[in-house]
Amino acid sequence: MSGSSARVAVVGAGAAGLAAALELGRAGVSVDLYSLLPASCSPSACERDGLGAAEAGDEAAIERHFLDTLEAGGQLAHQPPLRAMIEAAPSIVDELLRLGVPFDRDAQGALVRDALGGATEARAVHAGVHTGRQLVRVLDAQLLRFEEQAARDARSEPLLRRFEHWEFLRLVLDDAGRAVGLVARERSSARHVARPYAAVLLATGGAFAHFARSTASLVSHGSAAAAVFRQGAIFVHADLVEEHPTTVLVRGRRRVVAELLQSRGARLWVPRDPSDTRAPETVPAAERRYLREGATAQAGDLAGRAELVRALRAALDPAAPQGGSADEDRAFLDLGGVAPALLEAELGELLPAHRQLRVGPAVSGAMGGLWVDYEADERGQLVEGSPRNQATNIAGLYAAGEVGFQLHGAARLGENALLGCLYEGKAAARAIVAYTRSLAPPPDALDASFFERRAREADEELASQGDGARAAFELCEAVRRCAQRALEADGEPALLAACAEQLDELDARAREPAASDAATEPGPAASKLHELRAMSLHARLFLRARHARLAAATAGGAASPGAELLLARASQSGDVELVDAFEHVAMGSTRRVDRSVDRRYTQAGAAREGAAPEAPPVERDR
Amino acid sequence: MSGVRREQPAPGPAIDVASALARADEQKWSFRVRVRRQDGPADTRSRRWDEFELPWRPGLSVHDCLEAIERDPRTARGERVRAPAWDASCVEGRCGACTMLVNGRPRQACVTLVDPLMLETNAASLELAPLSKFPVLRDLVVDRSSARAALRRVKAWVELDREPAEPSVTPSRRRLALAPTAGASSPCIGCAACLEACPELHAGSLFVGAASIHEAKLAVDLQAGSPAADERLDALMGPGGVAECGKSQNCVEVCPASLPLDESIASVARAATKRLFGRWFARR
Repeated sequence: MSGSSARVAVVGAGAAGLAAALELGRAGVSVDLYSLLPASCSPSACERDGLGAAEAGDEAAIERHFLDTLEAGGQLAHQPPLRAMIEAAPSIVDELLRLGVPFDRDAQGALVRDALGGATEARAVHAGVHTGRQLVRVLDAQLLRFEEQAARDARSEPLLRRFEHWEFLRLVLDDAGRAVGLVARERSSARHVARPYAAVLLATGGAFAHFARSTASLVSHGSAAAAVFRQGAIFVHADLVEEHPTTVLVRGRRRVVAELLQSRGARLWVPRDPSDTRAPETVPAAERRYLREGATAQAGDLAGRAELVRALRAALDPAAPQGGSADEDRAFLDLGGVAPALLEAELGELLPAHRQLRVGPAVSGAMGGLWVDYEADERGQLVEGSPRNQATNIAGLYAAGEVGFQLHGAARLGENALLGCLYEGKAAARAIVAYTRSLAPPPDALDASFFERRAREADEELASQGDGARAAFELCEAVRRCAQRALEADGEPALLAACAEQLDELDARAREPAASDAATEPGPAASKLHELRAMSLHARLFLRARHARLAAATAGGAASPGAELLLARASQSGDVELVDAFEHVAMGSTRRVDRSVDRRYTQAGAAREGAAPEAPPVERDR
Repeated sequence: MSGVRREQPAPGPAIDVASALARADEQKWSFRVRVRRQDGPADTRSRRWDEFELPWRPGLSVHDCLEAIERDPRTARGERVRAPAWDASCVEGRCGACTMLVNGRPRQACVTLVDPLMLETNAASLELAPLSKFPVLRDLVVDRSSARAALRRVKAWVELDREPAEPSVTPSRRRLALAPTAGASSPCIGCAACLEACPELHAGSLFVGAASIHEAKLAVDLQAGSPAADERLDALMGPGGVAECGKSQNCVEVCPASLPLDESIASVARAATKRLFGRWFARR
């Protein structure tokens, strides 16, 4: 094994990872794609809802998409990258069409566009309720070509190599703290390998499996993000999660019901009398409160997710046990107006004969994540292709998709979920191409033994920690219940403090040395423990951030300007510490990054309007 | 299903499943799960069966059984063993990760319920094994990358660089878009159940299998008449192509996405024949 490499590692084979691998391959950069499971099993592939995109060239529609997103996210998104994503959306949809995604069309052949929650107009395109599946399918197919093509730097190696059933364990850092490779575990053999890379891209998705009431897949534990956090990566907005208003309980697990149904005839309602426990089909229309029809709603106007979730949580039965049992759901989707084919595709055997589906909110995504950089001019325009875009504070480590934080703010529009992953994947790939070109000559000081040593260290550390699977499971459930309680204890500092204490205790137990022989057994127990430690860390991050935001709100009302991002890093002792600013070295120059949100795009727009009053101001629809 | 290998079900506790299920919650009873084990890739000498005993409760899925075993990996004889490895992601029947042989048939563990299976065999036992046509990585986890190799052979992707410049006016795309089923049905989830169930797919056979023919058909439809589509048809006419399909219909029977795999194979076979005749006449 040579000590230097021009190869790039992409970790995660969902929408962001595939988009990045495709872009890197097109640029002739050879890629190793690591994933726990094949791409077709990624949460992206299971995503139901579509992609919001204005018609190409429709400036007013682009502006509305931009403003809707800012509004939904509580103005907490960095504007330059967000604006760039919105402007790229039409071409992203066009490319997917050309790659073979069969987006829904009307009888004239025009794309059908739907208004999902929080959108002021219908602009989201869908491939039925299988948009994620379709786009993962076509992106994955494009990568097949690269698996055959010879890499340019080494004739024997293909341009793309897949490492499926591999688990990212940690970065390999050089003495300057730069990421020069990674340590990964092959799950089937429990073998640890350290490999050199010119850059590492994390596209491992959001971490939200640490909530009891969530729709998280079994791979949404965030172990990769937790690992790089422990190695110094900054984490932002750990307290912000996306909650989906309509999820349904199936055999003890929560799953999402596509928002698309509400754009195509389904109506969400709760009984007017909160104590009404009648069967939903017997509640007359006059005694139902339809949640998306009110004084302020216009035809086609859907309320944002956050507002809906608040209303739904208020309608939950407070006496019912926590943890997502069906009994506490007191909202219903009236599916009478939805086309039977769509209902069959989305619900199948879950569809009740009376067409009133019991639903409730659940955590469906992480809004917080790894801090990433970008480069923008003073007007708030992103500098496309800058090596700073999507770069974390660890040189050589990039992040794209839900593992990051920058595009959405406090809450995400459903139509921006897959879009954000595709956009950031592409943007990160371009940035990495620029970054690897700047590495001239490539880092060659590190020989093979350096990487072998890193792999051995990982072996030793993992062998020394923790109990086997049984304890891991119990702790895991305790962590999930605790985080969920903290999420629901909005505005109750005493409860938050109690949760924090419990989590610290759980975390200490998770770090205790092995108490049984099971810990020496390699394989699933070690992987489970790795995941548990990650979930426990994410839960503690969540709690610290939640507590800080609550304290700031009670102290000074609304968040003060310039202090809106919640930045967290690992302290020397391995604990979570919130910081007001950090020093960031980007491409040779040092900058201080503080907690302010970048609003230069709208500020520049206001200045433009002030200078030229004849330009018509852009108005919101509501 | 003549083509699907069936293992002898484990004997299990001697109870009448139908009457036990009818009594439902009244009485506690347990059932047995036999799990095929293998410690690592190519470690065929470690192949063995482990049998676990689990308490019955209503609505259990195969995935639930494996989770229960993972929590306390103790065999029916009380021996503590390594917890079985299996793949799982969405646990709602969408991702295909947990496809395995349940009582000899490829199924998704997360949406396969225990009760109907036990009623079917009237035995209080289940048998779980990895898909048999792929290399085992560990226990129930297999390496399905040969399915991707088949997709490579039939070039199951759209070649953008060989597309007309203005895609929205491509007649073939308009045709596809107007087909009423275009976006409504589920696409292939990549679970490989069709390959597992196919009697033509065995060691030594070149057959690419139903999933890749279906994917190739979609790409052919999108680029109909283009050189790229013709090349793909040529690949599908060659060794291991559509001609190897024995029309057992097993693929259609096991496909969790209910894909019209037989229709796709027939349609590609027709297009291939047409192309063959076209070339034949052109030569004369």
